[in-house]
Amino acid sequence: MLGYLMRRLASAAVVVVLVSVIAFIIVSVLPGDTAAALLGEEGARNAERYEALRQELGLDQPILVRYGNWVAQVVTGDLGRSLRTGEAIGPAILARAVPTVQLAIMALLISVTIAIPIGVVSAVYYRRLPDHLGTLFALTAIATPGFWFGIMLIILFSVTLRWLPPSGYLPFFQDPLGSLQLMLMPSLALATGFTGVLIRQVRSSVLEVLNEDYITTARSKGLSPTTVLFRHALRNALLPVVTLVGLQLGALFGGAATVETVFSIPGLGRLAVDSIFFRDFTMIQALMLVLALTVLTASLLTDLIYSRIDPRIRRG
Amino acid sequence: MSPPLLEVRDLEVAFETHRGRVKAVDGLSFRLEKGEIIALVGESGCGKSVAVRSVMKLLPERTARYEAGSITLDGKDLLGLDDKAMQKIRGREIALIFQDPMSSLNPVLTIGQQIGEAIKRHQGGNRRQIAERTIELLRRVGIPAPETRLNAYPHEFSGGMRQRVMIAMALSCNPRVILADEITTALDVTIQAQIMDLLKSLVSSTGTAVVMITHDMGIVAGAAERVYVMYAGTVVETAATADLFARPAMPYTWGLLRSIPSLERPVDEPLVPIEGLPPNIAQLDGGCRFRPRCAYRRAICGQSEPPLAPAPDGAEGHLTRCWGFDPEIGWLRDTDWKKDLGDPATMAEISAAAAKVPCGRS
Repeated sequence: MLGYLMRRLASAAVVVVLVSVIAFIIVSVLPGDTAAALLGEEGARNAERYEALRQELGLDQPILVRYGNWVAQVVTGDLGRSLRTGEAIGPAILARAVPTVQLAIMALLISVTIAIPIGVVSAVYYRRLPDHLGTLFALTAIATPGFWFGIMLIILFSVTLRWLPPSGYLPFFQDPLGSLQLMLMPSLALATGFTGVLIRQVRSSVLEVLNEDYITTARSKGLSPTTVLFRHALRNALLPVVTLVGLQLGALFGGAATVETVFSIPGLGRLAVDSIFFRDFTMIQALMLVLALTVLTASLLTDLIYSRIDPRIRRG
Repeated sequence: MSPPLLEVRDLEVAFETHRGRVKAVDGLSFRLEKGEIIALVGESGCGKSVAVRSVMKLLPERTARYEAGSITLDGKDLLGLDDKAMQKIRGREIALIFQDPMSSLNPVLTIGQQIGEAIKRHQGGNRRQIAERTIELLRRVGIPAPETRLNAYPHEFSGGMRQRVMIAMALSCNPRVILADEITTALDVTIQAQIMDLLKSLVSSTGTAVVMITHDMGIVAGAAERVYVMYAGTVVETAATADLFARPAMPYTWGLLRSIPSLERPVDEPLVPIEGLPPNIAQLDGGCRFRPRCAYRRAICGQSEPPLAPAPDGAEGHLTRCWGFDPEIGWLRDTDWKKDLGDPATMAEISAAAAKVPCGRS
């Protein structure tokens, strides 16, 4: 187990290095730079001011030198300062991560609580009415863009019914109830696509397990259909679901960008979009690094959880 | 006379498939007395496994149809029972052991949990009592250190040990009937012998009756008291085991016996396979169902299906479904099946027909 963990960490390190290189290259081939974005269209025409700002920001140096400097800085734990606002990047990202993490966790919980029962019912009533309804629901969810669904939710619950506030953000620990209320619609919007995918996965996974020999064995012992389903089928069927949920965590962080924009939530997604508009190189690089680390951690955690619940791996 | 322990009479089971109705069991009858071991023998696809699953009513409800016949346990009709009532029969009155011990145990539950849940379901008791009973069962089937192995998962056992676990599970509630579906097929030969010896000694000490499903004539000879030879969903010959091996009276049985490898036979003597494949039971034409593969066939075989009638050796309960053994017109009554392999011209026809089957087995 320890050897396995070491190997996983080593390969994660390689991925992080590759991500940082790719991030650097992508950012430097983007047309325009931070200086131009900061000065605005008019200001950038003034060559003297433009060059001076470039020098001040260190943008006049060759890309290899800049990458080297950046890496030297990052390994000491310092992510540098934002080119745009001058604030320290580490604390800035940490502050913006809080709403995104809350959003992602709520979306994940919503997806799982909706998808597992629907998927199981679909499989148990294979090719009968409940299955057809479940499939229709799943496909509709997959085909619905999250940001559009978010806007529809705002129109229905905030504009027409006036039940929920349309947008904004409250820290969870300051006002838990208000925070949950504000985040409900955004997390529903973020959860749509994944809920659909998860329903399909749960359904096919349960169907497959129900055809296994050990299910017939369980029935041949005289166990009731409910015991067979919950004790023998579900535990096996949910193993691949755990993997899917873990892998999806990274995608949820990415998808948060549009939802955060629609609902004016000051999260990582909005920060990334704003940074790209302003060619805030240092911030974009730091964000990509953080995102890569998040995805890697999530998949490592998934594997560890998986090995806890599957005795064939735990004690293999 | 008291009713037999388990009796299947004229059972017909069909499946609804995309391509229409397919019959898997077609007029099957057999009976099992208390403490008896019988064998259902036949090649793959002859309906053996469907037959045992239908006794437990474990066939997929949405596609399987019981079209005719009856299944009775101690005179009680099983086909009329609903699923709730069947749950009380399964595991307690009739237990099932499967072919593949690798896939028939749940990988995420310990074997203690898997055996214990059957005991809990039918006999109840607290945790400690159930654990004690499970340990005793594991000891009886020869699992070393059962106290610790109780908490092991199926993947921590070898194939033979898993089959022992399956046997312990089947015996857990002292059932009156055990259905053993090809329980040695997935095991290697030495383990096969161990498992069969274990099963025989356990059932003789508990008085449990066993229906063995197999295609292995060697296992039949060593364990069963009576044999039912199945072909295309029905019984084509039945006899006490000794009578069947001494005086088989049906060309299909001859074929099965000729294809057993034997240590006594000269090594250069080829095994004689039965050419061709079993017929599609949906497309039977009313004649003898083995006729397309029978080298002894005559015109009458295509005209009507022979009845299951007493064989010429006159042994009690020896029945055969073959016109060749008919008391009036039978032409096979004095045939020596070991020497006479049938009409060469007919054999050539059968080989030619078998070669044309696109997915024929090699």
